[in-house]
Formats: sequence, C-alpha cells, structure tokens
Amino acid sequence: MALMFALAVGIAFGFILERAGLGTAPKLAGQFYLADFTVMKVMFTAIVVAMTGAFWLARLGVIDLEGLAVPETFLLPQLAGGAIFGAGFLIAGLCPGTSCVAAASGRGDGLAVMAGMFAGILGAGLAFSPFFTTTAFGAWTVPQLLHVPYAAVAGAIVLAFAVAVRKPILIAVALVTALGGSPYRMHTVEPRELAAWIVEKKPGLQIVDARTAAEFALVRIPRSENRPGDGAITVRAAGHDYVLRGGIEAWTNEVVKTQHPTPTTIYFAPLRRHGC
Amino acid sequence: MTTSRSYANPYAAGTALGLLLLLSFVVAGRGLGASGAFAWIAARIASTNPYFERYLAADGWLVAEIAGVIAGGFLSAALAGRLRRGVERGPRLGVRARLACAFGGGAAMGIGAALARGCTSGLALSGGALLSVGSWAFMLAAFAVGFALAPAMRWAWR
Repeated sequence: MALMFALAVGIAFGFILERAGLGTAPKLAGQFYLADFTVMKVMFTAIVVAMTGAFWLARLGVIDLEGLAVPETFLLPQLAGGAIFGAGFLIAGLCPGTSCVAAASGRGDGLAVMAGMFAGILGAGLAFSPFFTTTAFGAWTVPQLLHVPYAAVAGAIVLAFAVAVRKPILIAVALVTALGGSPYRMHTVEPRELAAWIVEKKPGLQIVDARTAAEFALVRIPRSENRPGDGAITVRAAGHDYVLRGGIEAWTNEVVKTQHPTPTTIYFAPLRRHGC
Repeated sequence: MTTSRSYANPYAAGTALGLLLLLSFVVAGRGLGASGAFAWIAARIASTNPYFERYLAADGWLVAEIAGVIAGGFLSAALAGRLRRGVERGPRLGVRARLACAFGGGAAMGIGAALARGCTSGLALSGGALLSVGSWAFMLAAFAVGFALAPAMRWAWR
C-alpha cells in the first residue's frame, strides 16, 4: 500500500517535471547562463508552498511537524557534496530526478546521466571515509540555528519569494505566517527530566510558572519565573515548548519529596531544607 | 518536428509540485527523492559499510517512487508530443562529447549526493521545505559552484 502511494507520488512528480520542461538539459543548463530560470522558479515555488502548507497544517494540529523526516545535517560533507554536485549539475545539465524524466522521454543524455549517477554513488559509497559523518548535527533546522521562532523564518522565506516574484498579496501571507506562532505541538516533560535539565543547565532553558503570585511564593521550581495566568508550568528548552506533567504537585512529589536519593534529589536536598 | 505542447507555467508547476510534496508529508511523513533510489540499488550489490547500511535497511519507497518518476515523465512527454529519441546538447558540442559530459557530470553528482546524503529532490527540495540547515547549506553550495564554474563550461552549452 505504501509502495503504491510512493509509485503514485513518483508518477505525479515525473509528470510535473516533464510538464515544466525540466526533462531537457539545455533548458536546465540555461539557468547557469541567466537565460532560463525555470528550475529556480519551480523549485522555490514548491519549497514555499510545501513549507507554508506544512507550517499551517502543523500549527492547526492536523499534522505533527516533528513526525516529518527532516534530513539530518552533516554540515561539512553537505557543503562539500553540494559543491561537487553543483559542478556535476552544470556539466551534466540535468539533476538526478530530471535525468530520469529526460531518459523516459527518449533522451540518451538522460540515460548517460543516470548511469554516471549510479557509478558515482557506488564509487563514493565504496570509498566511505570518516569524513562522511563529521559535523553531524542531527535534525537541525534554520530556526534552531538562528535562535528565532520557526514562524519568523517561514515568514521571511515567503517574504523573499513575494519580493522575487513581485506578488504583493504574498506579503500578507508572509506576515500572517511570521506571526503564526509555534507549529510544534506542546510536549510534556517529566518532573525528573526537568530537574535534570535544571541541574545540567540545559541551553536556552526557560521555565514559566503561570500560577498566582501567592502560590508561587509558597512553592517554586528553581530558575522559574512567575507570570500569573492559566496555572500551567511551561518549559522552553532547545527551541521546543513543553508542559510540566502533573504541574507543581508532581514536581513536589517526584522531585522534592522523593525518598530515593538520586543525583537530582541530592542536588535539591538543600532546597527541601528551606521548605521549597 | 511534430507539434508539441508548450511547457507549463513554472509557477503553476512549482505550486503543483509543492502541493504534491505536502501531500507526501501528510500521508507518508516523508518527502520526495531521487538519488536515494540509486543508492538503494548500489547498496544491494556493494559490500556493506556505514554508508550503504542505511540504504540496505531502507524500504522500497525510493525505488517505487523513482519508477513512478520514469513512468510519469514518459506519460507526460507522450501526451505532450515530446517523446523523441535523441541527445540534447549545446550548439557547439558533438553527440559523443555530450554523452561523456552527461556521464561525467552524473558521476560528480553521484559523489556529491553520496557525501550530502541526498540531491536536489530529497535534500534540497524536501528538506528545504522543512528548513533543515543541511538542506539549505547543500542548496547554496550547489548553486554557488554551478554559477561560479559556468563561464568555464560555456563551450558545452552556449
């Protein structure tokens, strides 16, 4: 079933590439001589549509953004690989996907690119070296790199697109997206996990306690700040938002009053003595 | 040459491609790809190592998808009257030289895609839409080098 869907997606993909004229090498190569911008127009439009769509579907709770496969970042190999790929793209005039379309429409050069691709991947794969896995950052996103909200980056990209294609209406889309809030679902964090984060001083850790000032004065989590509101305790760490599971009661029971000495409880022992 | 349809508006094609990518994200949780299918096949004939391992473990999604790309490209070209045997090349390049360039350029892209773990479809397009740092780094490096070397390859294309 999944493979049938993959096949259907592929058919549509190949169909769209061919319709746009991306199965013909001189047209693709034309981009490098500023003669034909079809590749960039198609690609940038597709990125903006899929990015904005994924953002809003996640924002509205239809999909879980963290459930999507974000390609892992291996910064140096990807920069080097990109450079070699760019040179190959210029020489071949086709990229991997478009070479399949060129071959399918009868072009011998498309077939030669496919054969070269296969030889290159096989050779490079056999010549695997530790360089392939250097500078590994996992599923790392531009908002995390820049320490700005996901919505702001998405909005900025839509804005750049709006300016590039001179479509003022898209500026409105950019603004609404930039102010759209976090597309990530709230995840819960266990009290003990939060305690560990406080101890290890997890980067960017922010704890916001939305109980009343009186409740906050009575019992509080170290490093938390009080912003009276809906009573929840929310945590922001490494660009993600979490809700403390069980609130202050779970915190008191599982971290402060626990009878099992662990590094965490030993760390918090002095706090207990002060009645926290 | 028989009459063939003109190409689609690139923004319309891009919008369709974006919606297709979104559909793939929603239904399957993954995007599009191309070079991965080549790696998947290579992994089945090469002795395994850390690079091929992940493709050896991967399901047939990539290969089914690329089979679809070939079928879809054929279908579209047939319907548009663009099905034609031949070798497309720059005005000053012979057929043999063009095929050599195609193979050599393809091999370079294969090496690049292996290092980067993806190509224009899977890494740049699909990962770019999810704001992956590696995807954008790859895209910028590829286009920067493509443009920088373009004058040196003028003989092949202009």
